[in-house]
Amino acid sequence: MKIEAEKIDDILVLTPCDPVIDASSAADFKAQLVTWIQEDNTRILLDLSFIEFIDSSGLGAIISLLKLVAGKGDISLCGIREQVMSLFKLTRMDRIFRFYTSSTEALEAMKAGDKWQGAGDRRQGAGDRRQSGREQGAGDRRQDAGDRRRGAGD
Amino acid sequence: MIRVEYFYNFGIFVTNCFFITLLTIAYWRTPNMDYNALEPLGNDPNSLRDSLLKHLRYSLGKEFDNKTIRDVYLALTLSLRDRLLEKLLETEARYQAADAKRLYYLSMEFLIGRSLGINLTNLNIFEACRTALMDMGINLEEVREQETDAALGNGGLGRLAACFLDSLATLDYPGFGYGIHYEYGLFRQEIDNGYQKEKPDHWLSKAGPFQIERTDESCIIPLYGRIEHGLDLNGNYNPMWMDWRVILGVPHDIPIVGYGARTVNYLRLYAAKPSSDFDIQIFNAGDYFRAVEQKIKSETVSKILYPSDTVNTGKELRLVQEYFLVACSLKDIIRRYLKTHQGFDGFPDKVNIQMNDTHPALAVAELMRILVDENAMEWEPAWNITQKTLAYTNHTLLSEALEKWPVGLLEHVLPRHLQIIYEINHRFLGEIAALWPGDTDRLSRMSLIEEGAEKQVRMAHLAIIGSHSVNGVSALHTELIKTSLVPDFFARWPERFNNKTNGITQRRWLLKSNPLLADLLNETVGSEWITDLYRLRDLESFASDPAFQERFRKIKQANKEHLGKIIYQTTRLRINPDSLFDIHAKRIHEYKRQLLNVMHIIHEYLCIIEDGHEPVVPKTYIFAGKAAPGYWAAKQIIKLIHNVGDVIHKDKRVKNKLKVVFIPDYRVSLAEKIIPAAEVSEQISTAGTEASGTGNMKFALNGALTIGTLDGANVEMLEEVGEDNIYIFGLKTCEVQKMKIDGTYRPLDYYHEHDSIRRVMDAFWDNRFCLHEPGLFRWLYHHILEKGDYYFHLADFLSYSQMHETIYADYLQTPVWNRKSILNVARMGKFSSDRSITEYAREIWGLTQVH
Repeated sequence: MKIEAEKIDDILVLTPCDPVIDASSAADFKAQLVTWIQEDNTRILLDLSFIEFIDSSGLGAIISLLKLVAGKGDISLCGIREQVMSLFKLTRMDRIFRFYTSSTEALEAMKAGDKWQGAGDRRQGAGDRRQSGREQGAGDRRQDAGDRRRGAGD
Repeated sequence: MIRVEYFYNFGIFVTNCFFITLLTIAYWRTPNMDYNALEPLGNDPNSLRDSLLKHLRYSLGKEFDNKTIRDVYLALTLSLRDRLLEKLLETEARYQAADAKRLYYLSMEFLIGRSLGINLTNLNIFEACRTALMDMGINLEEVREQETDAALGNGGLGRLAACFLDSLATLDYPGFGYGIHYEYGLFRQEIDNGYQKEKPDHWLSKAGPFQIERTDESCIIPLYGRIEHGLDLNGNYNPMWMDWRVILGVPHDIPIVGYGARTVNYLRLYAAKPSSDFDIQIFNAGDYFRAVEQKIKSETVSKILYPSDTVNTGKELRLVQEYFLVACSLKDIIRRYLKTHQGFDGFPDKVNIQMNDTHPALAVAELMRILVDENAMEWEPAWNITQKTLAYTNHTLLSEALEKWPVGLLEHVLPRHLQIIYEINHRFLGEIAALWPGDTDRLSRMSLIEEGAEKQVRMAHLAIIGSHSVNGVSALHTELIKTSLVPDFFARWPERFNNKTNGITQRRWLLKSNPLLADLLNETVGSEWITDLYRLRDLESFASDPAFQERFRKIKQANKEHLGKIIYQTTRLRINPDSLFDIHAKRIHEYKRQLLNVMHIIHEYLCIIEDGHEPVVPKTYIFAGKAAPGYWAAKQIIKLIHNVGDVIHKDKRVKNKLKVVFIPDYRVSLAEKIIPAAEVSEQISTAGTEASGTGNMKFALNGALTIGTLDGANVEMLEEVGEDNIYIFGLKTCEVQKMKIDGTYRPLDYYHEHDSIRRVMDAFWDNRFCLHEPGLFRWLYHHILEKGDYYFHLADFLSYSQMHETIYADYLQTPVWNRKSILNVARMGKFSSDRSITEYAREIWGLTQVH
């Protein structure tokens, strides 16, 4: 898979040029991303403007990108088409990335160091969750997933 | 002097002016073309004939002289489809203009049967079509016989869904069906040496072109995968559903026209296709067969209808089918809603979804997933929307039929949905614990998760918790739901529980299938009954009229003779059309007690040959119905019926006073021929087992008298027709329940105390009906006498036999019998599906008619 790379300040802009990231190309996609990160690129903007379709392997590759830079940098995405965004929403991956309409907007935000731009709704939703205490419940629930499997009798 | 060039230039100028003027006039005079408005299609014989001939030539590429009868059927279907689609588009425009609230009926089964006849009836062009064909030398009945049943259902539940669609359209309600486009419907039943053999029903190869494939509205459905546990940007827990596989749901629309052709809704059936033709990676790696295997695996989702109508199979494919239905339907419903509305706050005001049994219960979790995961809604408002949108119909009281799915299987197939179900359960049990502190048994009973060696998800509980309405399908059934099936849920939400007694469409089950009787009714009381079945009450004043009775009786006789021909064609048995036709037609199941019927037949036979009893009335006992392929006992009962029939028919002492017939391959189109010929209708389930029944209504509407227990809708039929006009026998529900709880039922006592019972049971032991297969029916002896007779055959045997004697005595008094028969027809108004749907629309869905 062809990925164009451009370094702007300390931000690496990666633009996959194929229209599809699926099972046949995800492994190669992931391998290239890993290579870039191993070259000490920790601030990455993934420009998905050319992507028309991505399947679960493609999404998995993007998640692994996030895991690789976790704590050391940040990943942002831009240029997501509606069909692709619906898959991010389906998987709830839309909640772990920052999304921008264009690379210009993304670069401005990343340079400004603004950690919370993007969908206004999500900001309000997240605020609510923090205030309502559901956040704690959600954290507990993750740990309790095993407990709950034992059912109500416990 | 004027120069020549001046004339030349002037000529050009004038010519230009002329053309400019012409163009201007043309522009102003040409109206803006509305390409949506076409000339409506005509429904007179000439227009129908033209349509048919055009389709023959341009759709099928056939000259008239080279046509086959099948070509005519296809061309006629295409002609009708044109008219249906015209109305469907008009209907949709009307709904959009009104921004009408819509009802979506989700069902794994739609037992549609044949469509050509009902479409002709409801479009009101039956006679016009008959004339058009006759003019071309073609017989409409021959054409109709080309059509195969669409048997996308097992029995009552699937047929109810089909009747409901007919009523929704007839009553001008925006109501649509959503189901699965099975490639193979319910198996065809053949009989080989008395045994049922299942044959595949590849209905699509013979299906008419009523349906339209809508590939542009396909949807992608994810399945399997795993949960990746993570945190979102705010540090909150964020479960991500990853590594799923996808299948494509391709919708096929079948237009559903209401009587009078004002409204055409649709039934949308989804077929499963692989997301791409091959998994390219596997293919590229050279493993062609594995690539094809993946393709085939995807397509199996909609390959075949599961043929069991009571017991859960527990099969993964069935779970996948159920999710496939729910996911495709919700995606489509939401897509339609969002085309004209913003946000989800108003969703329940514009959409209601009815879950037909628990098969679509995953809609609760799926709708929550869509709202919370894909639309970032908070849990509480999403749950509020879900409950207001969804409603649940329960169809069974049998515990083995209540759906449960192993937690492990759900985790494998739908990991995110399982998480959501856990969350629903957690919050729900928190509420219950607050309301009933310290009552841990209640928590355990009500939990969505059933403990045990293998934990299971209780789908009925999920459906109840996630719905604003829970209904049973007869008054008795609804009471039993509240008092014994889910009393804890009734205690929590009494306002949710309501009754919606089942109904049948009189258009198919009287107007279409019994045209002789329909004509008589139209002539006598007018035709308003076609859309208001209560109007048949006007018939009561004719019930004792000798002239009317004579005509009524002649119609019954004609129907019997017609059925006699069909029986001869399919079984090579000749039956006496003057005998009493006693019919037991429904799925073969122990709770429906075909065995009780057979035991009584054996009793009658033994009375003739051992007691010298001369039957007062010659009788033909007719059975029909399919057994689930894995249901051994049901299949043995089919064999028993055949063997008993064989012995009786060969015994000259019977002198043809008794005949036993099993008509193979019971299906909707066969029911339409059997029911009009019935004189006695067997509705003899053990009290407390049949939720409603609908066959009982169909038979009574066609003038059959019912012998039945006080079970299901029989109770309400008794109330409507009056106790003089129905033959009720046997234990009541409360009596059966008491004997079960107290453990006081001892079948051996009945065996020892009653000669008639002992004689019948000994006949099973003595190989009387299986001389060439000794011991074949001994299991019945053990099953009933030693294993507790779970369905109380012996307890009801005597009252059943006595009631038959009463029936025979009445039958001999022809005016009495005819009067009872006519009063049954007259008093079936309550059991129209129009009444059922009106109640659902008013009390559950908040739906408005859109005229």
